[in-house]
Amino acid sequence: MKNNLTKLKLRKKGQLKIQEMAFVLLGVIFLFALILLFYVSFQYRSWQKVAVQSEEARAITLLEVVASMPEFRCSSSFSSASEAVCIDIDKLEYFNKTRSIRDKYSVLWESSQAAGVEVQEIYPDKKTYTIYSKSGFQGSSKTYSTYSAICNQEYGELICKIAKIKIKMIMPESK
Amino acid sequence: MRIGNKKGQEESMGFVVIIMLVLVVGIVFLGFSLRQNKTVVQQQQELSDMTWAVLSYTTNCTISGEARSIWDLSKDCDVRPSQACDVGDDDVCAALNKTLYRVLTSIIGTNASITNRYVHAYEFSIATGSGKTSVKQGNRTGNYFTYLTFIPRDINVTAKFYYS
Repeated sequence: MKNNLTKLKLRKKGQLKIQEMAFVLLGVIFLFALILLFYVSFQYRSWQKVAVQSEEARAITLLEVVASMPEFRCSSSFSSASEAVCIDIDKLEYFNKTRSIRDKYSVLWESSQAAGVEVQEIYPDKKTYTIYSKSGFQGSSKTYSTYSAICNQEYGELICKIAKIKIKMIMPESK
Repeated sequence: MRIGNKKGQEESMGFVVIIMLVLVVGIVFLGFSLRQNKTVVQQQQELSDMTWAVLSYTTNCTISGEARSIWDLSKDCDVRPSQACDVGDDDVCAALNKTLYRVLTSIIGTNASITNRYVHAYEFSIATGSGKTSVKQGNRTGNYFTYLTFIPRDINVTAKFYYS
């Protein structure tokens, strides 16, 4: 009888030890999981930052490229006192109206991961000139924009308005 | 023996509670760390491009039949402030002031319209020898980007975007 009682006590003690060990193991696993989670989060954050920065840099470069492309920019015969870069409205009109010319340049925009490029006059009038629009694109995108002067010559004088160049960049997941 | 068992159980429960707490704190921290920060590179570029676009804008003021841009009016206001535009009663400085206000409030916004935006305030000023023309909108507090350029004859053009 006494022997059985001792065995029972020993078994209970053993069970408790196993329970303790299980909890400790669980704790250790949690800790390692936590450390791994932090590591992954920091890595992911830095990758994400690099990806966003490079995408933003590409978009900004592209915005400047549009403004300075000979196909769009004001010709040197335009006499602008400020020497500021401007976009020729007549060239924009031609691109906007001529689908065949837009198609010829589509390779350029596609290789830059752009889904759309347009110049939107914002002051004093409101008018949109489409330079490129990826047909059938419905994926996720982010639009970047900057200001630019758009000008044309009227009776030998340079008349400038204010516009926004807008570029719709394709987001990585929808490539 | 019974006291020993209880103590052991309490210790292991305490350990588990601590682990759970650390885990919860970790997850909260992770959530905050994954929140995206807005980058400011683009706004800086936008500010300088906006300044040049505004300076190039052709105003309604003509002098001897020649259209004047904001760039030209700034120089006119510096050199001959009493010069009047061909049409209307405005002199070149008044035309500069009015046009600048109209353009900026139209392309960026007014006090009321920009309050809740990322760029919640702005200031654009042209300082000539005869005075300063400036447009200020929104609550101009907090961080800002600035762009400074010059027009020959010591005219300073300063643009500031305040962001939240």
